[in-house]
Amino acid sequence: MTPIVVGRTHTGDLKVDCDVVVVGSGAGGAVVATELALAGQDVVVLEEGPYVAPEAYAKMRPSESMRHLWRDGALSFAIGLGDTPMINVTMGRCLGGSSVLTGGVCFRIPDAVLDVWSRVHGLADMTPARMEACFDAVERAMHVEEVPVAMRSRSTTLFGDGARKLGFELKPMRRNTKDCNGCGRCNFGCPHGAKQSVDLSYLPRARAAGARMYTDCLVERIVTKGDHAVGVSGRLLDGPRAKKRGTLEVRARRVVVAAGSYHSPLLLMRAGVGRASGQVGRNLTLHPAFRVMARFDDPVRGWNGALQSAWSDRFEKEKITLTGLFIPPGVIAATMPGIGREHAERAAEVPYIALFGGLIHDEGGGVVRRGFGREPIVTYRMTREDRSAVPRVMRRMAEVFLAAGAKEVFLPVLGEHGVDADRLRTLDLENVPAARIECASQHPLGSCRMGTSPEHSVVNPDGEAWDLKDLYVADGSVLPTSLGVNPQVSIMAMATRIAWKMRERALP
Amino acid sequence: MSDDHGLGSRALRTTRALAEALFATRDGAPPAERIDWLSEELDDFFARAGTKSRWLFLVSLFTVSVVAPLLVGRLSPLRSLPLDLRTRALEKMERGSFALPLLAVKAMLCVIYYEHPDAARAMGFDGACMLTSARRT
Repeated sequence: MTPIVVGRTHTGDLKVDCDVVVVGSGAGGAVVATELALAGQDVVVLEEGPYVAPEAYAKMRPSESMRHLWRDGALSFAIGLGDTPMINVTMGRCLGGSSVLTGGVCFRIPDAVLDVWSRVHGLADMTPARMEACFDAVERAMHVEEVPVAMRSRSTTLFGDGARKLGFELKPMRRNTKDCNGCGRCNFGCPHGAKQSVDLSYLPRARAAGARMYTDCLVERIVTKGDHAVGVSGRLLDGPRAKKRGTLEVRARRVVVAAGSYHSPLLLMRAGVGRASGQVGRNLTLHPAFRVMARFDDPVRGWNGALQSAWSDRFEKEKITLTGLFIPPGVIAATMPGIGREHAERAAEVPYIALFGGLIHDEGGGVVRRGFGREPIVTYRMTREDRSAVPRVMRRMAEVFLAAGAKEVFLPVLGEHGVDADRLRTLDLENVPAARIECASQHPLGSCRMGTSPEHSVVNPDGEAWDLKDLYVADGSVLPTSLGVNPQVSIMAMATRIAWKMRERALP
Repeated sequence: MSDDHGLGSRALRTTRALAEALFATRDGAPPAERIDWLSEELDDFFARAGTKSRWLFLVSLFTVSVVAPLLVGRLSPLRSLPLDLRTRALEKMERGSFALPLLAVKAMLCVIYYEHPDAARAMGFDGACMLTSARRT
């Protein structure tokens, strides 16, 4: 197996030649690298973040994981425009990318979404039947399995009780786990090596097939020759603040960008891709997500059990998907009102708190622009329909918890104290200003979308950029629309498809 | 500011003052040892977490340190107010239109503070796999 070259310990500059260079080692990049390496191509993977071994992140507290594995310490934002809240967008920045930090949730692209892609967007290949082999390959490699009901946390069970009283059942979640004991902290790096994130399920296979991996490598430019991509250049990073050090130069016959929906468009913009269409960086969707907490009389201890074990599409027609989750107790305490003694009293209630999340199947409205330095400036304006779903998602979840017997619910509205059933009925959630709404996103998608014409998309149905040959994009940014469900498997299936298409064509 | 430090001494002093008020109980401010630990961890966090997040935190902290005293009719910095007045100032800020910067600071402090084994125990948290650490506690 090839070693992982840690960029910060590499002395001098780095020059490498290969068949294919893959920028990014997350769900998209890891899959493409593996599929191409297994096909005998000489693959180099460049990761901006550090390599943190599974046995090292297994021992990290949540805040340590945030500072070592997450981009910007988990404090990245999309700026809300108009009546849109500020959105905290979290992403991974380490070997394995966000895959290391998901709850392990695995959904295929919903049939209704594929139907829109194939009929409305003209992507004729994107039907459930034609995508089946890609999904199968991913799910086999990642060991996707259903979470048993016995592994549900009491938090999720209580929500399920409330749902049943209101006439619907939660569905079991599928996750990429093997021998999970349900200790509830998957999204900070699995402490037991049970979650089959790509650093465990894909990258070792790529290395066994000869792929070379370099961490702490910031790719700044795509190198072009005529209308072809012929490599990338950038810098090696060093120190806790990832300062620039030696130069990095990789010559390749093909370039695959898989840096995620925030950073892939930046690289493409610098290479002049999409200048005519203006599509690069546009069409960003986020799945704006909200959490509702509920206080019960008896202890809940929601941290015991699988982090994400059940979900519901009961409100699909309202563009809402409900998913079970839990967050570290410190974060729960932070979002509850109070300072000093009141805060201490509230913090003591954390073991009695249950929590559920809801996301909006959004239409887009996000734009990624070049910012100062390495990070982009991202804005997001909700459509009127998406914005109207915000109070609905809060109310739906609150009603379920109250039906389950919660004494009070805590809505993601800044300064709002606990709410009982009477108060919820009279609360004017529809007119809460955006500035008071807490909103998060873990699913940035679509900023280099795939399509059938260069006027309306960035890459063609094979994943190749319309206006720069031998440049491919293979991450969440190519998804033509949002999904309404967690996108990990969807991104990986799309990356599989792109890799298979690349294999069919001889290297230039 | 060297590479080893995330926030700088002035910001850390303000953070300490804020943490003492935020985590005060009926017995007063939390033990100094716990606030020391929190400050060290926070400094390490922002030494590694990226420039943008550090500035976001510093701007939020500055806003809190300037606005909160005004809400209780004081012009002096937050860190020089007595504990009970600091608490009142922050309470007012949390209920007003400047709640967002306070939430940003409060969130960071809470995430780290409740990882301290004593604070976690006091809260009733017993999720062992979130309390293991690569660093000392």
